[in-house]
Amino acid sequence: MAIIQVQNLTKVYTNLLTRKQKRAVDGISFSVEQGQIFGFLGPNGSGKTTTIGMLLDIINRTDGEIKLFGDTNLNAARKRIGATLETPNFYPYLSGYDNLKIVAKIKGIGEARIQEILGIVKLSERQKDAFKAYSLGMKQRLSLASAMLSDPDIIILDEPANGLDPEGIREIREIIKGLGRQGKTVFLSSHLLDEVEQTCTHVAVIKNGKLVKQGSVAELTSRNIARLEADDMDLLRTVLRSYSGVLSSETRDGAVFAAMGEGTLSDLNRHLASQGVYVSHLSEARQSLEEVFLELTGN
Amino acid sequence: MIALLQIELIKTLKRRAFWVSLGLFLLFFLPIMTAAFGRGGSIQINGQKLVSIALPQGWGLMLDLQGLDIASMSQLFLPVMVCIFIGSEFVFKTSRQNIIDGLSREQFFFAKLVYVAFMSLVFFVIYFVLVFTFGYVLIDRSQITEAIVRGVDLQMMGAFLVMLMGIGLLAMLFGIASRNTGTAIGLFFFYSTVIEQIAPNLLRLKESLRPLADYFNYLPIHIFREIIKPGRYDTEALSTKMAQMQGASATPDMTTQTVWICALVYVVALSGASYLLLKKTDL
Repeated sequence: MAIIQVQNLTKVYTNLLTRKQKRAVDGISFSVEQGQIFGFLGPNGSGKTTTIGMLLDIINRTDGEIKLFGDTNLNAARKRIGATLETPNFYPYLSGYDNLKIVAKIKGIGEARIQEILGIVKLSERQKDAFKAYSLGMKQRLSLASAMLSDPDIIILDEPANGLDPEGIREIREIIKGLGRQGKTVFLSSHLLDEVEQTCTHVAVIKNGKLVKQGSVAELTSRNIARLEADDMDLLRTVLRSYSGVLSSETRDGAVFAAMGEGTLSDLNRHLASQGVYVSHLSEARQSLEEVFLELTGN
Repeated sequence: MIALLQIELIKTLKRRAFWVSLGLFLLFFLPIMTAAFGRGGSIQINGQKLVSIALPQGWGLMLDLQGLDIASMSQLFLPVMVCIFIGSEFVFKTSRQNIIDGLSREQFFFAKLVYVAFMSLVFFVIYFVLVFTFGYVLIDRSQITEAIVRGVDLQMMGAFLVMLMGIGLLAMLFGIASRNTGTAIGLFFFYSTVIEQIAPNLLRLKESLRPLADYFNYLPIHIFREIIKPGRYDTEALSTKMAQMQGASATPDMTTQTVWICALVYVVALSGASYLLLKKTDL
């Protein structure tokens, strides 16, 4: 069941003085199924936060339709969502506990849950301290606690690992994976592609306000690429260039990487042998999400 | 409604700025009231001995005392506090987080209305407690013939509450429009002094522009000041005594009905403008 459905979502900013228009988000459509951990990726200024802002109704959309839980009434749906946008936004003079108390009152849930969630994010001992006295990692953890407070069906996190040390990143990753194991839907934007690859089941890539790719992480990273080594590398390259099953090839790290068309590795191996090339290494090479991202965004 | 009030109370009562501001406000009036108490309740300004702060005259006197009254000082303190609290919702980005957490924009706006109403009530309670405490003790029981709270006093109190709400709502509008505490405070005082006070006086310097200057009398702060003039309500006793004051403005220059209509229209209009701003702009 699609829990988030976005159709032709558009945001146009107009400069009041020059009347110049900028399409921050340009007719994007995507859907997120229940239980997915969905990574929303894109370079700086690509429209990620604007899109999330429109999902959460804090940015007015110019055009398009958003359905959360199959409903276009976002006000009702937001009570079933836990979310943070950009930096952790709390009252700096209030304690962590009091900040969560405000969230609990907005969501209409009892205060008993606050202690439980503070324990999960390991902030129980600092709950009485003012938010402004927290370290960045503690602020991010409080932010996560706030998002999880009502045990929501969807959790939307914008750059949750921003500014965290490796230990903090690991903790956040474990919490998100735990949410996934509970069957929660997590919508996550991040710059840390390695983290996204380890955490997310599905991703969408946005560039200049347009969606350039959407799919499962496995689909995106398992492009048909062969890694080959042979005693006679020059002959190997020559034969590969003449083989119709190979779209392109490049040499790096002492090996040839060939982007395959429709054929399999067995077909390729058979063809090479028939041409007198006997490979010493032949394997499927998996692209990292980072490589896919850089390729898609042209960075 | 109750939840929104509870939320606003958590935000307000746990903020040092709230208590510091109230402390300063009280620090200003306690010496004045105490000094008056020492002189048997009479207050002197510019060498003129004014009426006693004893009840029931004290209710009106403390609302119109040539700038040293509770109404005038509330016009300084209340907007500053409203600008600080509402402006900081945008500075801390908690306005957007409140919406993300589940408030609709209507509820967020209503919460700010609740906050302005609460702050207005705080200033009203301070006025009531101060005037009642000092004024009651100073009553000359051998001569008093009236009730300590007359019908006209209740009208004045109602007017004072409307004034507080109106000024608070104007500050709220500047807070929402500027989304910054300092800018909101600056805009409010620029508007209240330059636009509402200095500009009409400059226009009056030129004969041909004088009719234009009269329209400035209908601007919000002028209206909210007009509505609490005791002379509008206590026409016999109080306005006669207030008229003895040098430069006192006890005589109304527009009808009470007109002032009330304008004030209530401004309360609705300022609320509506704030709501539309919140509704139409990105947070």
